Amino acid sequence: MHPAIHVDVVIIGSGAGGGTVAASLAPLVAAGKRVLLLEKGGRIDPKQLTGAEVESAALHYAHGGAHPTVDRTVTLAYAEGLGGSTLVYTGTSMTPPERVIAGWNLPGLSHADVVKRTEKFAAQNGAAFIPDELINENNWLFQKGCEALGREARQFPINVRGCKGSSLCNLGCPNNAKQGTAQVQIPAAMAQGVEVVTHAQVTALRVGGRGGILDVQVDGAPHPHGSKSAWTAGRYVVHANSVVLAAGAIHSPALLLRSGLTAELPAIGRFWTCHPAHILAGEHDRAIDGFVGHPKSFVWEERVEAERYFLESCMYFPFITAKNLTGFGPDHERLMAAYERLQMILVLACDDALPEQRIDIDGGGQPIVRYKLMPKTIEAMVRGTRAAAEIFFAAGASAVHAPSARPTLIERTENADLNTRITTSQFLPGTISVSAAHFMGGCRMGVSPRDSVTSVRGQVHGHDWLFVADGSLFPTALEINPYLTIMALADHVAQAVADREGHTLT
Amino acid sequence: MDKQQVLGPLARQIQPVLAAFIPATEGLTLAQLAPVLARVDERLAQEPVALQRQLRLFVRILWWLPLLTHLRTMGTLTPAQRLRTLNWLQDCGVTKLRLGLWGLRTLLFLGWYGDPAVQAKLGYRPNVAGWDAWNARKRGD
Ligand SMILES: Cc1cc2nc3c(=O)[nH]c(=O)nc-3n(C[C@H](O)[C@H](O)[C@H](O)COP(=O)(O)OP(=O)(O)OC[C@H]3O[C@@H](n4cnc5c(N)ncnc54)[C@H](O)[C@@H]3O)c2cc1C
Ligand code: SF4
Repeated sequence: MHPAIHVDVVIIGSGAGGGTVAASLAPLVAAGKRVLLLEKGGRIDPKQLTGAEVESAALHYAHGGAHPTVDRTVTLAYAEGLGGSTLVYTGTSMTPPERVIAGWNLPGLSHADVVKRTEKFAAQNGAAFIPDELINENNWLFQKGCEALGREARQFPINVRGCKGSSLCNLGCPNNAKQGTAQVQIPAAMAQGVEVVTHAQVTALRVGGRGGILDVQVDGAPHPHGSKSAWTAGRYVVHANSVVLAAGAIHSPALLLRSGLTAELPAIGRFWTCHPAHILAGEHDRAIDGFVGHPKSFVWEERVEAERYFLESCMYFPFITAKNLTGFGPDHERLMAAYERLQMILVLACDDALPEQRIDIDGGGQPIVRYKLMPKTIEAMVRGTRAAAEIFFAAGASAVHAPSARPTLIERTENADLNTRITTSQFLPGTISVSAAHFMGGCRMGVSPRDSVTSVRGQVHGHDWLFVADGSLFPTALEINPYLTIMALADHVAQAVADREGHTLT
Repeated sequence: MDKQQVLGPLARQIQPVLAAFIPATEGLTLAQLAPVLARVDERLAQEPVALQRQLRLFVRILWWLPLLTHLRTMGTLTPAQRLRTLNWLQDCGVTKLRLGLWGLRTLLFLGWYGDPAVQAKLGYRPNVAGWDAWNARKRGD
């Protein structure tokens, strides 16, 4: 056991939430405060990334990118490393919808304030529209299909600097072009004196002194594609006046549950949502070459309110594509052989925040995700699948692979029969691949400790030293890609932490 | 890399299922399939022991299941019979069986489609240099 470490503020996790808090609180260091960030994963050197699918996924993702829910019908993708899931995100940079923030009904958190903060981080991360000539064919087909149907696809601002269009964003950017917390917020925080320690897993939290005490386990092995921890291997105890939990919407609730700190808060882990998604493929008669260019340029979200889904152009690597196409055997193999001719669309459903959808822990204290695909979610995915099939055909595809159709391949001649070909009765959980990467809730903000975990300022009810600042704060699903909103909320929470430390952030 | 710690002797029982899932592997020897199975094994080794046990049990169930319908094991079915059996399982009413099949299918896809050589054959040619490399290839540089 190493000697105890005393700091003013400790931040647990370095993703969209934790990295942002570190940067926002960095001015406290100049005021004499000690701010420490602990990250479970390693620091990855982008120059060593090769883009090889299986190897890169193993390097970045927990469970190789497929953490299964308890009933195993959904797999969850999230990264562990300095930068958290911003290491592998695609970088689509969206401001939150007004109806969602208004629906949260949180006194002191207005849509205008959240938008102002998202704009700050969008600017920091260089979010902008990539020029038309750098948008690839796969993305244009989505836009053209929408246009032919009279639908308006919106272009995503993307947070890149010097993007070469290698299409490898979800395997970690080998060109260091994609701007995440490891590129922007954490270096800025470190430059101002925030201490950052990787390979440092917080295993438990307890009350102590004027704040909290953390048990930390540091792994001494260097990252295979990066560097070692700044601390020597072993167990540490960290005393902190303020603790900011930003381990992501799976690990933050789990850490609270494991620590038994907050048994009086029944909402811990609950109201968890994830925008369950699946990939559809449309077959064209010419090469699309989706493997060059930024993978994601457009979103179509005109039916999100009424029909609870939104569609995004996307491109996935061969194994992920094989996994996502329903079935196997000659038909599956034939479609995979057409890989370079495939256009791809991601269907994302807006799932309801329900108390029974929750993060729990197993006997060993590890997080388990008790999440079920509800009938309303399945209906939304099926509606989204039909809408995507229409886009594929409008873009000129000769056939469409729809997971909730039997047979799964729909020929162009069947375009008029999509309502009968794609149905909820053919959406068989366990046969259809559903995955998710937008985790929201589990430590939701609110007013009452009966149905929320933190105050509107991210302070855990009943524990003024303990804050949450990551995706777990969301009271409901955001209905659009969430990272900028997570940064905005983390920045908002940082202000509360600074107040507690007697420092006003401008 | 090619030695299977988790799958061990089950490789022989997995082989006909792999051939049904990915017909291109039909006729390949276990030695030729070793890198594919090693990738599967490496992934599986990171999963909890209970899950590894379940998967091994499921492979054995698949091997013996056709006894009920064809009085033969999976290994002696014709390719068409194997495919029919597995298709039936994929759409059957028992969620646990469907999930087992999905899990095994996904692992075997990882083993096969995760291979950079197989990926190149599909026309997947990413390059860290992105557009520059793609344009150079188009120009025939
Ligand atoms: C493949 C993929 C693509 C995505 N694309 C987009 C996109 O284009 N646009 C968008 O808006 N969103 C996207 N997202 C979602 C976005 O990346 C996440 O919502 C966001 O990063 C979540 O932020 P977070 O801080 O809640 O958690 P994370 O970013 O996941 O960070 C949590 C961090 O905490 C660390 N940690 C966990 N437990 C501990 C512990 N006990 N001790 C110390 N550290 C710990 C983890 O290692 C991790 O680094 C994508 C996600 C994925 C996986
Ligand atoms: S497309 Fe651009 S941002 Fe994405 S991995 Fe390639 S260079 Fe990086």
